[in-house]
Amino acid sequence: MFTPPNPPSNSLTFTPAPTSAPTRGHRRLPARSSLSNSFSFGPGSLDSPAPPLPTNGHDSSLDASTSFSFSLPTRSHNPRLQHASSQGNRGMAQVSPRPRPSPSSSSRTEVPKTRSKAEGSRLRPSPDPEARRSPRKRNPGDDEMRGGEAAEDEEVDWDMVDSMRLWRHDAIMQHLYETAAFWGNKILSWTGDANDAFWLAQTHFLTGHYLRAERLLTEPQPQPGKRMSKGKGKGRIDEEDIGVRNGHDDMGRGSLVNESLACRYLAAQCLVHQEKYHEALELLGKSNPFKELSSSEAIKQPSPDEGIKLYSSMCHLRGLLHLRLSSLALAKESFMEALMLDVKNYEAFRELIEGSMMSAQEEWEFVNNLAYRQQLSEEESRFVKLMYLTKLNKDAHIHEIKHAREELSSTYALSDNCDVLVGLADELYAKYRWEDCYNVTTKILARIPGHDTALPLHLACMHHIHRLRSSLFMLAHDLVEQDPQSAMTWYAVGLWYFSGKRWGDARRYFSKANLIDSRFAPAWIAFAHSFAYEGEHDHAITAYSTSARLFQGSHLPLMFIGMEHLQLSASDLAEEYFRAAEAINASDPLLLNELGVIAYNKEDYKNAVTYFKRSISLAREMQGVASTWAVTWCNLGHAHRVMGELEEARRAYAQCLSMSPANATALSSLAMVTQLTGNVRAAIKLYHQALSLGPQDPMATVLLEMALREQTECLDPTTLPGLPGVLAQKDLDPFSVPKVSELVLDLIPRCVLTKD
Amino acid sequence: MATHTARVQIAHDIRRTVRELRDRGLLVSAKWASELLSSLAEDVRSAPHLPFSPPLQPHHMPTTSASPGPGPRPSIGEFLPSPGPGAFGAVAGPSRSMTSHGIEMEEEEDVLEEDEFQLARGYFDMKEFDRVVHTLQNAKGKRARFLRVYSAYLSADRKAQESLPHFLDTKEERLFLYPAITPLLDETASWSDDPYISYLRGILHMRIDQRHAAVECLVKSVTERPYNYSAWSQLAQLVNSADMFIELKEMLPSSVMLSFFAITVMLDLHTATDLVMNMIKELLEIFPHSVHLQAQRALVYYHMREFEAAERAFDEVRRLDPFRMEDVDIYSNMLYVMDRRAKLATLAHEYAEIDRNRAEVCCLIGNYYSSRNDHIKAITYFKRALLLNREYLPAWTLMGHEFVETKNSHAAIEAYRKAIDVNAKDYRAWYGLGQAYELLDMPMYAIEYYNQATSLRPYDCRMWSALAQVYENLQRLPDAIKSHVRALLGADRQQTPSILRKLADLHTTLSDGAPNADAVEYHKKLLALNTGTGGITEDIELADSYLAVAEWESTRGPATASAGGEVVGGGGGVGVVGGDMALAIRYLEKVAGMNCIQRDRAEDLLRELRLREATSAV
Repeated sequence: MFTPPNPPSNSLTFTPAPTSAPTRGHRRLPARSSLSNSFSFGPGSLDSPAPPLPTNGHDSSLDASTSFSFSLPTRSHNPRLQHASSQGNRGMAQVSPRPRPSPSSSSRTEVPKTRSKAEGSRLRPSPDPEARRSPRKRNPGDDEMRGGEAAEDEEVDWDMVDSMRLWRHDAIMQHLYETAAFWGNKILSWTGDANDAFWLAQTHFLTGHYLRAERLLTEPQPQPGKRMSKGKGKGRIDEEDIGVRNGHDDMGRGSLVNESLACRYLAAQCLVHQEKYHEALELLGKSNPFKELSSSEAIKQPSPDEGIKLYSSMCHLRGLLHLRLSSLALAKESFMEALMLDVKNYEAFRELIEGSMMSAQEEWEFVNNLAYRQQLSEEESRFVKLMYLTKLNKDAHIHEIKHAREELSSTYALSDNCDVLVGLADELYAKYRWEDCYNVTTKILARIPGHDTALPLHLACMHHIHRLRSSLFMLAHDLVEQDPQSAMTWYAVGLWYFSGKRWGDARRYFSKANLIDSRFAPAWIAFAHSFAYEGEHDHAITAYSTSARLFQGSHLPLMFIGMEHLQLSASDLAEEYFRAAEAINASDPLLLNELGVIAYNKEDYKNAVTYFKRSISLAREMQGVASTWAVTWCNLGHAHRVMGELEEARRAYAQCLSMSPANATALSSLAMVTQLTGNVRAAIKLYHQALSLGPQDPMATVLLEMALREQTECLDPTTLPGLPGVLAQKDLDPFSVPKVSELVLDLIPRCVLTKD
Repeated sequence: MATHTARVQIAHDIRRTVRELRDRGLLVSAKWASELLSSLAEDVRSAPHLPFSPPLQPHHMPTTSASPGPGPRPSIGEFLPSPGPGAFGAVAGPSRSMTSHGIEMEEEEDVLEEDEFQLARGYFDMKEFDRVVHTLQNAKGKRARFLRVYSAYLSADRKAQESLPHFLDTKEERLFLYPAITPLLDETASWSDDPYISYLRGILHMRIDQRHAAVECLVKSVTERPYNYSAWSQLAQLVNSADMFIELKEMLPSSVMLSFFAITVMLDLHTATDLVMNMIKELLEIFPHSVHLQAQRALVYYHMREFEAAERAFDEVRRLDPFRMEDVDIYSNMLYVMDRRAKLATLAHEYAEIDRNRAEVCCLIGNYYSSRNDHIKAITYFKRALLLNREYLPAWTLMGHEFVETKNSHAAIEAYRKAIDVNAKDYRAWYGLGQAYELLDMPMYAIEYYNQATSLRPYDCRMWSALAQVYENLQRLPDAIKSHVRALLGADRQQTPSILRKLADLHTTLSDGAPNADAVEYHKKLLALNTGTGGITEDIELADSYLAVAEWESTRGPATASAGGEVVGGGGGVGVVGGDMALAIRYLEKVAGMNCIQRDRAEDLLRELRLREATSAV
């Protein structure tokens, strides 16, 4: 009963309605559709069957709404509660009020086709309703309807209500919402039809009149007003209409939300926009009421009309509500459900992944095992999966993700697509390659200003690259002008202050960003960082905890909490948090480094070495900037040194120094190792180098003094390096050695001491 | 020593190198190489070995264009490993072609990028380094690549210097420079087949203190392009001991430039001798007009402390090239040491006329002010020299000296440290550091720095004396004695007596003031030295020594037979077993006859001795 997925078409996914094409021989000429293209929301209308030749040539260019995927309204009585479950699976299309005869009303529909013939002299002949409906919106009932449709093809009349529905629809398309609402209201008064109510509510919703929309949907449907029949056909239709209504009236007219899933969904949306979250949740149900239905079987089914499954959208909305109401576990569940039901639901994916609701491993498995193939055609499923893979967390599976991206670029020619580029930028960022990442994000933002995943990366890179601080300032200013309502804007402002080490100011703007969007992770983390950098460890921990609660899939907040505890010398607490972070993501080199430090503090040096080594090898796998991990090399050296493995320690320090030559700690530690191996003079030289980089280092100063004392006490002047053999003799008799002037070597200066 | 054709070949090689250097913005080297070229004999330079103005030829005919004239071609065979038209290419590098002017172009990319490259060169000449980097972003040619990285380095260097919060701060400079240099090294890692890139990598390694890698790169560079003098002089800076120099010499192919290098290194290591003089003479045969060599000769004289000869040589250099600024700073140092203030003043004024914005000239002026005891002004000029060239070693050391003069030990320490950063072989800076720390009462540090200075100048009395002094202050007398003994080796006539006296005193202190054989030994040396040379020292200063010897002789007088006395007596050179009473009495009488504080003690002893003599006689 499900329509098979469309065969992959190279151009646009729009295909002519198979049954309507033969009935009308004409196709609209492409040249005339220039304006319509600009209006069309759905796929282009080039191939759509044209109405039988409008009389005025220019008219057809105006019928922009023909390609609108929400098809024309009609008095379809389909959305009925008893069909609710199947509706849910069929998605919005089912609800979209378009001229489609339901079995019960088949006798009176399909007027429009002939109407345009009849009213050919009208200024604006309506396009064929068939043309307005997307063929994708065909539903299982269509085939049966066709029969009736064909039978009634000869019907010549076009109801005024129908034409007004057309006005309403065009008005919506052209953003003339008041117009749409005005006429829609009239229509509803006449017909009392559920579809008309839905469309009116939709119009209200689009204008932001959520309360009105909500009322319309939730309150009991009014009786349709009786209207004087004007035309010959109209009376009949009205009668029939009432007849149908009457059938329902027997059961009592309920509110629309109880009759149609789509209406319920819209009503819930209205409530969400009015911030009535509890009510909305009540309307939607705390959990998926169709769970049993939607379980394994539903997941495997493709969406009947190839749109987005309405269930999926509802699950997504439910997830959003749970998020709002801070029940994160439920929210996550709902989003997962939404995505399982319909893999195309990108917003559910986005909430899950970008909101870090799942750990890296979890999301990898979840996204990998979605029912792509069952819901989509082979090509589509492959594409969607690749697309999603590129957006996953880059810590693990970096090769697979890279591979996916390469395939997208090569096979699907999306190498320049911003979303694919964001994947690249994200990967570069994860590798600590700020400059490269910045180049990519600049490219993205040049094309899509304010791209919401590229912009945070862009900002972070600007913070990291010192010379870009002033551009950061400029960008923040621009953002404030363009989009003062966005969390990102204030995050950018805060980041600028953050770069200038003005923690207090930075914090103010970060919290402003958080107020605007409490799910904006970067601002939370930065907010906590501003405390951490200021040395306010307790506050920092509190702030990190909040973000840990909000972003449960991310190990970063936990790790940061651990780091703060470590700074407060609360090793045990720190370890707990690190372990928790490890459970989420065990392959972050930074985390492993911290764990190594913990082990080191616990004097478990063997383990520390293991951790450091693993951290280094993982970092190598990441192929990022090697010098980022110089500190880990240094730590490894410390662990080896304490264990007395001086040679290994020396090698680790040397490695660290080759990566970051200005590392004073590594230098002084190397000096210590050198001193321990007995080479005091070399150690002194190294201490000097260390102190020349960090003149205030108390450790190095003390160690240097120790070394100097050792030198003074143990090495007498005869042991100086570079002394000629004679001078190095312990009991040298100055009178048995020839005077220097007789030696070949240089003469002794006779000049003043200080200057020559 | 070298045949005519070989010299012609040298001329050709230099000429080519000059052009390559100039293309790459290595101006100092280019200047040096051009000087060298012009110092060749006229006939060598004009010899038709190379086509200076061949007929116009297209780029893609490298083999034919290399030999336009039939004349001298075959003679190259004497010098080149594989003669023939192809040989030229083998020496000159891969895939050469000629421009329309008969100048070889290096690579195809270089030809293609000529316009961009010239644009970048223009920016480079205007010191707009970042702009060069930007212009050559995607350049592929070797020249352009080099210029880009070099400009990036210069830009980073300039920014690092501008970032300094304080003039003497070296830490900030490093912290700024290091992160900028590492990516450049990474970037050039795969291009090391280019000798100029190798040179640049050498410099970069040097800047981040990776000496081994630096030496490796520079050696590679000079092997392929020997006439890049900057590479040689950087390499010379890296040589920190004679052993290392010998080692390096083995690695390098022997060539004319190796001799130049050897001269520089030996001057640097303070081991300049007649050997160096001979090398200079040999080189002068090939490069008869080389002012550089003349100046080197002056430097060698200076290092050999033959100031008169050095002065003559310097004057000769000035006559040959009155506007030459190099080495004038060293000349001024020498004049300062010789205390030729008038000449120093003249020199300062004359060079200030020419160009006071040269580090060397600023240094000269600084020396001039210092000689007039105007230390503040001197410091100003040294600073100015350093602003012009932060790596200019002499100015750092001299500034350190001036800071010591103005009792600003901390500033002095910073200046010396920087000098050592630039060149760790500068014993004066080490010595200055030692002095400064001694003033700050941090003897252990002083010992360390004197140690360094001493290692560099093992026969220099001043270093050893200073070291001994610190040990003495630390009450480490055996070490002090050891140091003094070594100081004695390098001491001249003025210094020796005081060292001897010090040694004697130290030995006395070691034995708690009791007369002691070692001490007496040194006293005797002291007296012997005095009589031997006709008395430099006043007798009155030797009273102590006379007294000590007399006391020693007198105390062991009666106990002549004791074994200990014999040993010491044998060394004393008196040749008498037992106490030399006569000597003792003679010395005591001498002291008693002097107007000094020891007189009473001497008289007492004399009396006692006479008494003892009388009793023993009885």
